[in-house]
Order: sequence, then structure tokens, then C-alpha cells
Amino acid sequence: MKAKGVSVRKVQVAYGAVQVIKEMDLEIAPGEFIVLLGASGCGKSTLLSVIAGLRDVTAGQIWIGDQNVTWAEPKDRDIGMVFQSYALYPQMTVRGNLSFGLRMAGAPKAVIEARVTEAAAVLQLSHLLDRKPKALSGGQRQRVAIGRALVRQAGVFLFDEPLSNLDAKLRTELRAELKRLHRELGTTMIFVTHDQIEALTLADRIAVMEGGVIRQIGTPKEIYRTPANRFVAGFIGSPGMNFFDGKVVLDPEPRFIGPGFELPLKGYAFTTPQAGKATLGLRPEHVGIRPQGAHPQFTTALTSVEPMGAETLLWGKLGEAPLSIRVDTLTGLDEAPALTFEIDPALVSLFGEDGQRL
Amino acid sequence: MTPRLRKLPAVIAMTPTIFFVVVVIGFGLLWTLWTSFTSSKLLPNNDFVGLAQYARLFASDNWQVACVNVALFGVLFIGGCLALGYALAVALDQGIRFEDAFRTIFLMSASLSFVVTGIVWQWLFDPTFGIQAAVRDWGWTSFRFDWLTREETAIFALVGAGIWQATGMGMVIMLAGLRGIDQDIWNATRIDGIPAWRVYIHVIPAMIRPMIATAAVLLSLTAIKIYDLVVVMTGGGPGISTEVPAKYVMDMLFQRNNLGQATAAATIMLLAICLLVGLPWALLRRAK
Amino acid sequence: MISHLEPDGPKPRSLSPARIALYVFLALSAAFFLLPVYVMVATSLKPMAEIRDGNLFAWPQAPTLAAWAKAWGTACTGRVCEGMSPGMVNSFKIAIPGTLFPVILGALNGYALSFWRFRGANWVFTALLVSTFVPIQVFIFPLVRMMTAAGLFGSLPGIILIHTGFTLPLTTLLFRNFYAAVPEEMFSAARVDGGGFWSIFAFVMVPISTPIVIVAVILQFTGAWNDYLFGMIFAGRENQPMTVLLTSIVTSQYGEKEYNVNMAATLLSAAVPLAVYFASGRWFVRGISDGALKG
Ligand SMILES: Nc1ncnc2c1ncn2[C@@H]1O[C@H](COP(=O)(O)OP(=O)(O)OP(=O)(O)O)[C@@H](O)[C@H]1O
Ligand SMILES: [Mg+2]
Repeated sequence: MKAKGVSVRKVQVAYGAVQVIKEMDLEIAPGEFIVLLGASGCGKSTLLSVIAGLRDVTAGQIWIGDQNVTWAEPKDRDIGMVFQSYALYPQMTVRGNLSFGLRMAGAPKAVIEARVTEAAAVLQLSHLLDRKPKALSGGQRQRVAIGRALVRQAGVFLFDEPLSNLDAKLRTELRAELKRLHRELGTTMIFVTHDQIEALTLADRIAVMEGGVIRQIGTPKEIYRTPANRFVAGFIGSPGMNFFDGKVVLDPEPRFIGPGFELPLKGYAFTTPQAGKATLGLRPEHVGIRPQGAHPQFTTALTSVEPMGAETLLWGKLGEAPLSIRVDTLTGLDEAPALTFEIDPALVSLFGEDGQRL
Repeated sequence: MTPRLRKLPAVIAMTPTIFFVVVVIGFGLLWTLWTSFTSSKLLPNNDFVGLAQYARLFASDNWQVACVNVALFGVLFIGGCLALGYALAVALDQGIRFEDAFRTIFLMSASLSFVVTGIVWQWLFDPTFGIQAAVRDWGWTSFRFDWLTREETAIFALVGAGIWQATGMGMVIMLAGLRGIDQDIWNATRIDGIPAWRVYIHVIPAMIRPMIATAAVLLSLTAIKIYDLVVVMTGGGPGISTEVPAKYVMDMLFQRNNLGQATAAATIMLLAICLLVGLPWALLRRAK
Repeated sequence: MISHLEPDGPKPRSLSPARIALYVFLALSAAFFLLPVYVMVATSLKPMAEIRDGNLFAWPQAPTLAAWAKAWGTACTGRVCEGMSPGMVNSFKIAIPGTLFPVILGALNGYALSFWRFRGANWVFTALLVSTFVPIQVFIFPLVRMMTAAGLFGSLPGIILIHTGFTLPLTTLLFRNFYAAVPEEMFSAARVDGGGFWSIFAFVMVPISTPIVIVAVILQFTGAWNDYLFGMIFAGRENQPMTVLLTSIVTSQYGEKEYNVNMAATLLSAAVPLAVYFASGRWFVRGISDGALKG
């Protein structure tokens, strides 16, 4: 099993007049775990099926390893794929499901046996080999679907929302398992999801998609800390980022002037410093609730409280605009009538009128 | 209103059906069953003779031939309709051009009656005017297509005509099944590089089993009750080579005036249907 | 500029051998299903002399409607020589009520069985299921007696009654399966809104039943039109449907058979069901796919 890189070069996909993928470039390194993240209908599955060869590109090229596979059949692309609906063969046992592809390809019996045994061991399916899919739980079915991809010993694995039919607990379990699998196999994995927790926990790099375009690609940390544009900033993080419309003034000192408040920007790492209309983004968890005096301070009355278990969301105001603040429930702040907090300018995001990061 | 009273309109709406089931079906069944144990001839009587009618029935050449024939016809007819129907459904499911036109053509003969089918195929099988004559006319002078005139082959002519008539219905039912298959199954098999024809043989039939079962049940009901086609195409001949149970009953009723035999034969038909069709069907429903 | 060998953009389409084989298979199958119909039409347009000497598959040299005229108006069934014309009206008189009654009653039954599980509903359902399987031959003699006793033997109401009774189990099953797939909440919501048995049927169920109604109507109509057994026994002289007349015409000729007249008569009796299929086959297929045969 040799991990292979994948390269999407100027690929477009259209259904009739509708452009579902708009001239896209994407380089995936061998052994990388990349997650395609985006809202429903943004073209994630389409991109994945184009890489798999299940769907034709309208323009552009797909490379896997050092081969141009744009016109190659799916089976010749050295890929394995796992589907959201599992797509198991209902009348075959787990063993049958795992071995069917190899049998049809005419692989020797010993090889089939060895690979099935190995995949079953890796996925803890060994005791279920003689059951039919009907008699398996959702998580077990999904593991069989993964196993079916595994036995192909492919260089690239593709996953189309494989966990979205499972309940929350199973999802966490299988997430951990996938991560372990990636470490053990070292293969390239491309994983589609609309669940950001999944993306943030699994990915080496995340590609955030919107309307057939990749809006940002980077490590989970980059995506979370320095969103490249307003869309990504709003999409990542839950509860979502606070946004304040206002303007940036650079002279004499960089400042952000929002509705009823002013924030000096000392310590903010500008990419492209630019004065004028702008939006300030502040994550609820980046509101400093224990001011040390090092950063600008503000005070607000707390208007409402949303408990979320371990954490609590408090609602107050920054100037005249509503502000959500995420705090540890144990702080006891949910009982307080008012709060003084500080904002570290290094933790905020600024977006220009075009939505790009300043 | 009590719950009982609220459901009263449902009972009222179903009264004609319940009446029919109880009076016609129930009474008819019991009457037929009773008469088969009597010595009734032209008119029913109550002279109980035990299983004598059944003994005579199974000793009769006509009945034996009829039973063998209906079994042979049933197996070939059902098998043929399912196989050809599945092949056609698969072919129609390939995103072909003119799909509507092809489907209409394949389904067309299903709208005809067995009487019409019988007349047409009798004409095609006619040795002096039919296909045999036409092909010989083109130069292949030893060509034989005279199945209807030979005792060993006449039943196969019936099977052919039956398949022509009934395949379309099976096809439509199975096509509905194919259209319901998860697209991801196809994607998975393409990734595995399994040729489509192998998928159609190894994977799909199990997935559309309910549709195949429905088609099989409908076809077996047709096969067991087959009557019109035989009457029109062969009249049971040549000799008694294409006798079938339904025709045996009708002949006993209306030509031989032998009620005892007719009811005994009808009862056996009923038993056979219960065993061959009802039982597997009930099991299948239970399993689901 | 990328070279021609470099795969880029959509894969070029070519007609693969498998695709060609597929179309050959489709064409051969179409021929198998069409040829008998073609032969029927061609034969019905030939004079007897041409049938005797010519090739079965040849198109008539001078197509003539003489055989059609004879089949329609003057061909003999036994002693009467009125052709198929009386049968057409009779077939309609039998098939239209023989469609309406079982479909309406079947819809009501299916609805009552699916949503109003009154005491004994399961029993009724099982009985219906069984009765679809029972061969008609079992009932014929007792039926003749009952119909005679009721004064309906050989009458139009009699044959309609027979058709309705014997197809009711099937239509009931069709509708029951269809309604079984309707979400129970839909019914519950209508109940909460104060709907009763009839109003829920009329305003909630009927509007969603189009696919299954189409399937049932087509099946019933062609079934009733194509019926031979009941028509032969129960319709009586006055009401003989086309299938019965057709068999008499075809089997009652003496001397040389007039194949052209037979074929014309056959086509006449097949014309209406064929027209029904051509006009509504598409909806029929959709109706079956939409769940008429699920469950
Ligand atoms: N066969 C098709 N014909 C026309 N449009 C299509 C077709 N398949 C998908 N689309 C459109 O392409 C867009 C992208 O679809 P795609 O399935 O890739 O979305 P997705 O990101 O995977 O969404 P989801 O999270 O819901 O699976 C959608 O707007 C969809 O409506
Ligand atoms: Mg998708």
C-alpha cells in the first residue's frame, strides 16, 4: 500500500448550464488526511466522485500519484471509497462483502483470505464475518463498508460523509478509529463532511467549500484562528463568531471603530493593512472574562444565559451590538448581572469590504 | 360516540365485500368441496361416495396429462417470463435512447387477451401459411416450425405464446425494482471494477427480491389457471397432448356433465395453488 | 497547448461493443414483440388468394379493407351473421362498470383496512388474500345456480356483478398496499382536524391516490375487456363481449378458414385495450414504480 498524492487541476463540473465545481485547483500530498467541508449542496460529493472517476469532469485534469487519470475507470485509479449509505450487498455475509470485489477481479484465494482476515482484524470485525448486513448495527455496517475499501489496499481512500447516519456516540468512536486507521496505514484520505467537529478533529488540512469553490485550505488551527474570509469565519466555530460592522482607521494608531465602541488594534497581525469599512470578528470563547489589564477593557450587563452543559453562553453587548460570550459553567458567571471583560486584539479577525481578511 | 360506533362507517363500506367473501367464496368453496365427495353427474346430488371421484380423477389419462402439462408449462412459462422480463428491464435501465418507445413495445402484448394471443400464434405456427411456409419460401426448404401439429411440441408452442403475452408485465414490475436501487451500490461496484453484467447476476436479483416474488406470484396464478390460450390455440390437442386442469374442469362441467369429476378436479387445483403459491407467499410476508 | 494524448476534460464518448450488443438485443426483442402484430395487420389487409400464395411477412400488394368490413359487419358466429359489431358495445357495457365498481370499492376497502382497523379487519383481509388465489373453476357451478336463483344469469347486471366480485379482492389488495405506505400521521392529523370516515377518504386519501388509481383502472379495464371465461358463461346471448364473439367467428367457420377475416376480427377486439396502453402506458409504469406493488 503506497500512499499517493492527488492533484485536481483546473477542474470544472457542470450539469447543463449549472456550474457545480468552478475551475478548482487542489494539491493533496501523499499520506495526507484532507477534509472537504462545506454546507449541503456546495459540491463536495461532486468533487469526490470526480476524483473517484464516477463522474466525468467538464474541463481540467485529475492526477493520482504521477498518473493522469482524467479518463481512467474508477477501478484503475488505485482508490477505495466508502459511502454514506454504506452500499453493502444485502444478501452477502460480511466476508462476502469484503471479498466480492477481489473475487470478481480473479485474485488468488490465499490473497483474498489474507486480506479479508487482516481488514477484519484492523476493524474488529473478525467475530462478525459470517453475519449479514441486516444483522449488524449501524456502526458495524459502516466498519464493513470501510473494510470493503480497505481490502483493495489502495493508495487513496475516499469517504463521502461516512459517519452522518450514525448517532453521536458512535460517530465519536468511529472518528477515533478512522484517525488510528490513518496513522497505521499511512494512506492518503479524502473525507467529505458537513460536520466541522469531524473536520477539525480528523484533518491534517481542511478545505472549506462554498458554491463549488474552495474558500480556504489549511490546517484546522489556521482555519480556526485565522479564517481567510468572512465566510469561513462564520462557518467554522459553534456557537458562531460575533461580527461587528464598522471601520478600520490606521492613523495615528490602528483602531477599529464599531457601533458605540472603539478597539485599538495593537497586536493584530495584519495581512493587508487597509483603512475603511470593515467587519470585526470575535469568537465567543475569545472574550477575556478575567481581565489582567494588558488589553482594552469593556463592561456589559448580561441580558440572557444559554446553558450548554459544560459551558454556558452569555449574552451581553459590545457598544450597541449584541455579543455572545462563552464561559465555563463552573465559573458561576451565569448568575452575575454584569461583566467586565477584555479583548485581545491578537485573537480577533478583521475583514475588508470584499470579505477578505485584512 | 363510542370507538365501536366511530368505526361503523368502515364496516358499512366493506359490507359488500364481506358479503361477497362469505356468501360467494365461502359458500362456493364448501359446495364444491361437498359435491366432490358425491356421485353428482348432470345435477348435484347428496349421494356420498367418499374419495371415489378423486380415485377416478387420478386414474384418468386426461387428468394425468393435464397435470404434467401444467407443471411443464408453469415452469417454462414462469422461468421464461422472468428471465426475458429481467433481461429487458435491465436493458431498459441502461439509459438508452428511445426508452419509452421500447418499453411501450415490450408492454404492448400484455394488454391483449389470451384469446387474441392464441389466434395470432396459431396463425404464425400454421404449417401451410405461417412462419414455416414463409421461411421455406425464402429458400430454407427443410425449415420446420410446426410445433402445434406435433404432440411432443405443441405444449412448447403454448409456452412461447404465453411468454410473448406475459413478459411485459413482469418486466415493468422488475424495472420498478431496478429504479429503486441505491446509486451508491453502482458506485461501489464501479470502484471495485465489477462488470455491470456480473452485478446484475450476483447482486441485483437479491435486492429486488420482493418485485421478483410479486411477478412470480402473478405469473404462477396465470399459469395454473391457464385456459383461454389452450382452448383457442390447440383445443387440448393434438390428441390430448395439451390438456390442462382448468380445461378438464370446464369440459367436465359443460360437455361431459360430470359435476363430481369437475368439482374434484377443481378442489385439487385449489390445493395445488395453496401449496405452490400461497405457502411461499405467506412465508415471504412473515419473513419480512 | 496540451497534446492530443493527454487526457483532459471530459472523456471522449465512443460506442462500445457492449453498447452495440445492447441495442441489438433491444432490436431483436422489439422484433419478437412486434412481428406477430405486424403479421396480423398485414394478413388482415390481404385477400385470401394472396394469403394462399404469398409470403406471410410480405406487405399486401393492394391493401384492402374488405376483410375488416366482413369481420365488423357480416362474419358469422354460428347462425348469426352480424360480425363483431354487437360485441364492441357489449364489451364497453361490461368493461366500464366492471372497472368503476371494483376500483371504487377496492379503494374504499383498502382505505378501511389500512386505517380503520375495525374488529375482524384482519380476518377480512386474509379471506380476500386467499380468494385472489382460488381458481375460478371452483365457483362456476355454484355461481350459475346462485345467479339463476337471483334471476341474474345471462344478464348485463349479472356479468357486471361477477366481474366486480371476482376482481374486488385484487383491487382491494392494490389499494391496501398503497395506503399502507401512507404515513399514519397524515391520517391522525386528519382525525384531529375532525375528519370522519367519508370526509378523510374524499379529501385526504383520494387526492393522493392518483398513481394507484391509474394502475388499478388500466388493469381492471383491460382485464374486463379481455375476459373470456365469465363472458362465455354468464353474459348470455344478448351481451356477448368481443372475446366471445371472436372465438365463435374463428372456430365456427366451415371449409377454408378466412384468415384475413380472423385477423381483422382479432385486431378489432384488441384495438381498445391497445389504445388504452398506448395512451396511458407511461402513467401505468410510473404508477407501478410509485408504490402500487410495494409491500
Ligand atoms: N445529477 C445532477 N444534475 C443536476 N444537478 C446536480 C446533480 N447532482 C448534483 N447536482 C447539484 O450539484 C450541486 C452539488 O451537489 P453535491 O451532491 O456535490 O453536494 P454536496 O456538497 O455533496 O451536498 P450534501 O452535503 O447534501 O451531500 C447541488 O446543488 C446539486 O443540486
Ligand atoms: Mg454529498
